[in-house]
Amino acid sequence: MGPDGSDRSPNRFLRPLDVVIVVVVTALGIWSTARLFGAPSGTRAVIWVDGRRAAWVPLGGETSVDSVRGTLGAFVVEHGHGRIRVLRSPCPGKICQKQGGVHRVGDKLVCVPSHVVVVVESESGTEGDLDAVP
Amino acid sequence: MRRLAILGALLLVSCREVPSTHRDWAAMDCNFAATLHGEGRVPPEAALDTIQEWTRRYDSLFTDYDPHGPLSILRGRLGDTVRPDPRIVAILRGALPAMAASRGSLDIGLHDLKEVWGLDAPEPRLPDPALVRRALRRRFGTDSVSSFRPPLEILADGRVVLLVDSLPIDLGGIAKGWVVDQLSRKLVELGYPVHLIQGGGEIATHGRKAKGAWKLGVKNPRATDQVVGTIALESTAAVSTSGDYERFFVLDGVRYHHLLEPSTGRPSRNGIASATLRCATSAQCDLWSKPMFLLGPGEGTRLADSLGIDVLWVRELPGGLCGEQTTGWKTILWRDTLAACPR
Repeated sequence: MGPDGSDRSPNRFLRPLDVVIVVVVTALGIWSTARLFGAPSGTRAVIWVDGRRAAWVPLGGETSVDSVRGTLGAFVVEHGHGRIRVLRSPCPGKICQKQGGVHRVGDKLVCVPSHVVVVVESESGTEGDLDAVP
Repeated sequence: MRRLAILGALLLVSCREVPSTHRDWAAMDCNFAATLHGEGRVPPEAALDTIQEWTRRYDSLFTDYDPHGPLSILRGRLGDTVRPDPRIVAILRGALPAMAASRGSLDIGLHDLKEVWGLDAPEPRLPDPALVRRALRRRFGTDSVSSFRPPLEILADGRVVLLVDSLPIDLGGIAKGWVVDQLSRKLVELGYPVHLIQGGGEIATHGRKAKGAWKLGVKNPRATDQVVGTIALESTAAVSTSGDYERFFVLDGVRYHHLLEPSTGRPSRNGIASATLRCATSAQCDLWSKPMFLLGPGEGTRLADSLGIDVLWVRELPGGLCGEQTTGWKTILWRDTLAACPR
């Protein structure tokens, strides 16, 4: 009880506006962190063969398998559930196969001997927030 | 009213999106990519065709797969004087001082050692120590390297004297940066002063985008689909990274990677997971990224400052990753998540 007789003791519970502010601030924090450091996930991948676009494949939806012909032979990728990986490649070292799945905009899977490069993109373009990652 | 209309039209023109054209291709054992902003003297696709063709030609010039290729002239007998292609000499002229200044952390005579480690093999395994010693003896004449010895000497007229018998010279680790610089110059000549070129881990930015600074990420060495920071480059610059995550295998919990210490013939175990450099040219970055990884911030900081290079080292500690950087790195740092390494 205050000196004027009113009860000004702090409310033990958050008022509705406080809840809104907390939710908005938290969401903004998560969004900005993800934007700055998580790098956006791609929605599709473009497959380049010898500097020419050979195919676009979606990363969303169920897993499916596609194949393009590189200079050394068939290059098979599995894409879906937001990721893409190389299933089979004619490259001797199989480095791109060992790399596993990728999903971030700008991520690449490269089979140099067969001149194949897979690049993850977003529908709105290839850059995401970053111009490149060395 | 008329003034308002003119002002509106000017605003519309200034807000017009500058077109950009992008291409990825494989060459020189890695991925190349280029993004051109605006329109030049030739259509962007024609400009990209030109530089892609250039990478194909450089590929056959610098390859060490071809035993009869242009590089094989350097694999002669001790004391031979040879005249290699001038472009090979240009790269050697940059490499020899860097090899000396880095006290051999950079070495172009380790082709055999890389073969012995065979990191690109389908089933990598630890090499026979006798083979490692043999590779070191072939390069240095001893399997215990205590001081730097150049494998060749360049004469003023461009001829080269071979100082080690039948030694294969490997420009794979340093030619890409030089090539990226050549491609960048060619794009300017073709009317594309605003562009980005990537050749493996080497990136060159040229000019300034209408949208602002170039933003480049620094990979998290232990989660390579994430970045630990972002740098902002206002105009022409070069960036490259050497990391233990690029080519490696793990055996009994130990990571064996491609950044071999010439003094031991084994992958470096100095706790550094990656070194990212900002340099004036890609050739400079390519020459210095491996030495900066091997030397670490202790000796690397002094060298980097003397060369005008900015460096971020990412170190792996039991509790996670931390970063150490040269003073200049802070001027290009836009965002980072790394804790400072304990002193």
